[in-house]
Amino acid sequence: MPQTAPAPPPLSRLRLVVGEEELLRARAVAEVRAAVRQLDPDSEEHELAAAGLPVGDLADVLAPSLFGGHRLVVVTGVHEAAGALVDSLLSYATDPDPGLTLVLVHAGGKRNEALLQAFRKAGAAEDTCAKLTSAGDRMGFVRNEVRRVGGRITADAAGALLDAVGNDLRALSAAASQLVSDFGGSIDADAVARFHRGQAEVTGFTVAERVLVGDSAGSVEMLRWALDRGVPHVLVADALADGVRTAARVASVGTSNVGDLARQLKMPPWKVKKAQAQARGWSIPALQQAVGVVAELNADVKGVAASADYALERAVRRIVELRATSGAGRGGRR
Amino acid sequence: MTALPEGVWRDVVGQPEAVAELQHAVASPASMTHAWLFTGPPGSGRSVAARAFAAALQCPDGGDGTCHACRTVLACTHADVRLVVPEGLSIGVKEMRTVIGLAGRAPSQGRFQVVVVEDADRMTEQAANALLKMLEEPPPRTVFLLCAPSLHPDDVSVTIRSRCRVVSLRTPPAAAISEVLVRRDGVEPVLAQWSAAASGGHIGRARRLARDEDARAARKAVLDVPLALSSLGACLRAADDLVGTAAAESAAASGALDAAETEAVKASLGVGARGPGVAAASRGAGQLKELEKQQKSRATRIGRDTLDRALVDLAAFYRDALVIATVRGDLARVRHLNHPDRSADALELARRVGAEGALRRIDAVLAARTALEQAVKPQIAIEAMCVALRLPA
Repeated sequence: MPQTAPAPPPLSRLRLVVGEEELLRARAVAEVRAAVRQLDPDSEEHELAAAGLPVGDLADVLAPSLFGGHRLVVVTGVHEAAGALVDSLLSYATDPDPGLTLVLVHAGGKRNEALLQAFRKAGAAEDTCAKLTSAGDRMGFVRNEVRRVGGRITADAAGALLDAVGNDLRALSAAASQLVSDFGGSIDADAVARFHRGQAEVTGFTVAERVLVGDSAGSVEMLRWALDRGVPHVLVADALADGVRTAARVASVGTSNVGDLARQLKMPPWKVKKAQAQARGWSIPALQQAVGVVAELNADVKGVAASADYALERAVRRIVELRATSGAGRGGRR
Repeated sequence: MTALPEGVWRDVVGQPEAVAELQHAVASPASMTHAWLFTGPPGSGRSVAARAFAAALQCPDGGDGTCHACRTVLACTHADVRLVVPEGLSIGVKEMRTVIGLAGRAPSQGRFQVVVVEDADRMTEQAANALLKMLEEPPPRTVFLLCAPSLHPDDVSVTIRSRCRVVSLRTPPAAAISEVLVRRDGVEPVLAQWSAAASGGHIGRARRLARDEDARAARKAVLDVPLALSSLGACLRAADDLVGTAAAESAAASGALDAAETEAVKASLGVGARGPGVAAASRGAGQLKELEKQQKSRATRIGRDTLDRALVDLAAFYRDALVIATVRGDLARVRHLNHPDRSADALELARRVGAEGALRRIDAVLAARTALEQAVKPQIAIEAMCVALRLPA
């Protein structure tokens, strides 16, 4: 979990939990709940789903209690709240009850954003649970998970775990705590390999990358993982075609200036850079043949070939071979 | 040229034999039958001939072209003539079954109950089988007129073919096409001759070329492609342009239709209606989804047809180059060119690729057509084709 700012003290009267990541949202709410219980073991707790919630029910739980004591009200899914409910939440926020912690859980996005703004203005504490998009963030998450349960993990072990388990945070967290309890703290790549192996997140593009750089064994391995994981044949074929096309474009333009290429080919610069790396080692005639191979493959996976599996593997091998033979005749580059 | 056909037959261009056969069938009941199959190359006027025949069948005077029956049939509003015109990629069994139900009725006013299936080659196998049942035991006064490009089993199943009488149309001569363009559409004679010669015997295409500046520009762009393919980059650019043009045409043509259709369905479902007593329009999702599916299928078809037209032009151009190459560039010895106005370019192309090269490139174009039919992504198929068409260094 990327800890950008220190977490706000859990017991403010108004709280927001905002973001797409379901696990992190659940954790933030759990932390608040724990803090409330610590403060007052007999505290009243209410958890309500905002979708279809009558305004009267909310008013019931927000009204002052006869028995005193601290109370916790969690309203989940406020992005789905109806207009009347939003209004009553807004009016509560202008004069919050000091003996009550109100937590609004919002799944991110633009819906009911005005409600969040108003709560922020009213001084609500906020937990952000944004989606972990980059591989580095996920790596950090794994390391944090291991640390939470009192262990340590090496970088290559964390990478292998990510490869094998995938991007689902709940699954990653469960795997991390399991590993720590099995290996008693220190986790290395061998430990991960004993329980987790393979590729959880393989897309057509993973396959295409390996194919274009001419990694013969790797590309076939990735292809089989992809098919095993149920990636549709058509998607793999399309990714291959896209990779070959992009490499052909980059190779056929005279300049190697990334900015110029990006403008001419109307592609983002990162894609140009990647394509340049992939186009290295290809001759123009080989690329031309590869274009033919992927076109044939496209028909094959749409029902022309008797076995789409076989057609894909054959095409992958043929493209890798084309690149290997073109490496010898690199002088023929025009 | 022999005497021009009269009455409803006037627009059946350059097909004297077929017209004579059909007229005979109308005139003498003994030579009439219940199922006809019109075949001929695209643009030879299969559906026009079928409609003219339908009109002649309904007309008390055998198709004079002036009476109420003739006019309503030609305007597709006759109560006893049903047209099945696929807008999408295929004619499904559901559509065919409704048509068959209607075809079983007795004629309400005309002499026959006529069903015209344009593009019978687009019938799915189930639809063809449903139709077959009807053809095997036809009601006494029902006539089926099917149109298909050829008798090949891919187009019409042998079982249907064996139950139909075949009327085969030929590619109409350029003179006949330019004559009909001048007479019917009021095109300038010079332009009419040019577009008739450039159309490759496709009447509808000749008409578009004569009347639409954009169509002429599009044709020029396509025919400029072969001599521009000097490098891999140029090939990929040319492919982009071809696919982009097709996509734009499809978007323009279907965009105009889609919005209006969707609005009409929404209005009939009561979406957006206000006031008390209006139930929420929650039931229409299925219908709207169905409509979207049809619209998507139609857009795909328009895009594919546009590309196919370009490919046919390209193949014809390489054929010109092939012919020129076989007579060693002696243009005087070439009797017929598909694109006579581009003979200089065809000569240059013949010089650069030679006869064998031209033949290989024709193969590549035809392979791309097949690939498009097999639902290969247009961009991928066209790129592969352009790369195969690349000029030798």
